Amino acid sequence: MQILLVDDSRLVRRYVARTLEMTGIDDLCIHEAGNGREAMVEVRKSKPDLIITDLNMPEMNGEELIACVAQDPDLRGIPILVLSADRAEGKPEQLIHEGAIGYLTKPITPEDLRGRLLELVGSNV
Amino acid sequence: MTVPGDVICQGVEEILEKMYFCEAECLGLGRIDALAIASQVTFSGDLSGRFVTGATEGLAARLAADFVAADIADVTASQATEIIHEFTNVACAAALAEWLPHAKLNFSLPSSVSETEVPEQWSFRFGIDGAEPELAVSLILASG
Repeated sequence: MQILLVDDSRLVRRYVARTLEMTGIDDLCIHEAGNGREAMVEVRKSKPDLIITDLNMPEMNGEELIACVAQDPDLRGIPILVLSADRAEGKPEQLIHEGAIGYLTKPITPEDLRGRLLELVGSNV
Repeated sequence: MTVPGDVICQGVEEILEKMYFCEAECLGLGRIDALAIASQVTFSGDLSGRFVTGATEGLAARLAADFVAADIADVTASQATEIIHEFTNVACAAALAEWLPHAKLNFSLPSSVSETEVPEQWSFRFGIDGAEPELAVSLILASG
């Protein structure tokens, strides 16, 4: 399973990658990007099975990334999970309407993150 | 407009426990002389201001190590700064959402704070695992 992690913090990417590795998902292959623009390059190259993205990032933010993926006929089926500190009222509903499959709010424990990721993988994302 | 202290204290304590696995105690207003790393997120919209965090070098290294399960000796200065940026980002969003759940706000990316912009008196200081204060935050609203 190929998963693309998008976050401008390398430490957060490492934290999520480590949590993913602890899920025991078979054939896990993790790709990383530091913002939406880098993510689009990686998405076109590796066509991941799942994208996990932050929202507040430089150059291209997570909302723009979701819109770009949704607008591209070759990419629009790729599931996108948002992992963000942003708790703005209505934001999860808005982004799910625009193409995200879920919205996780920080702070989140590794156990909760792992549980949510396993749910997604169990439902074939 | 008065910043609700309990919202800030509980929010910070929850984040430290959930993401960094440490117990914090809110110690209230005061100075911390040993703060080495300071970060801020500015916000605008229905309300404008900045959320500033300061941390000692030792605490920042410990938080970074705990966050990614690394050896504290392997934590670089850049990672110590990065973890305080991430903490500030999460704490700012959490505190404002709890205090003003209907407010429409735009948040900046976290950035380092110059020495002249660091508050002399912090609004909330935190002791970690019963120790002396090693972390401090201030929510500073723009006037007008």
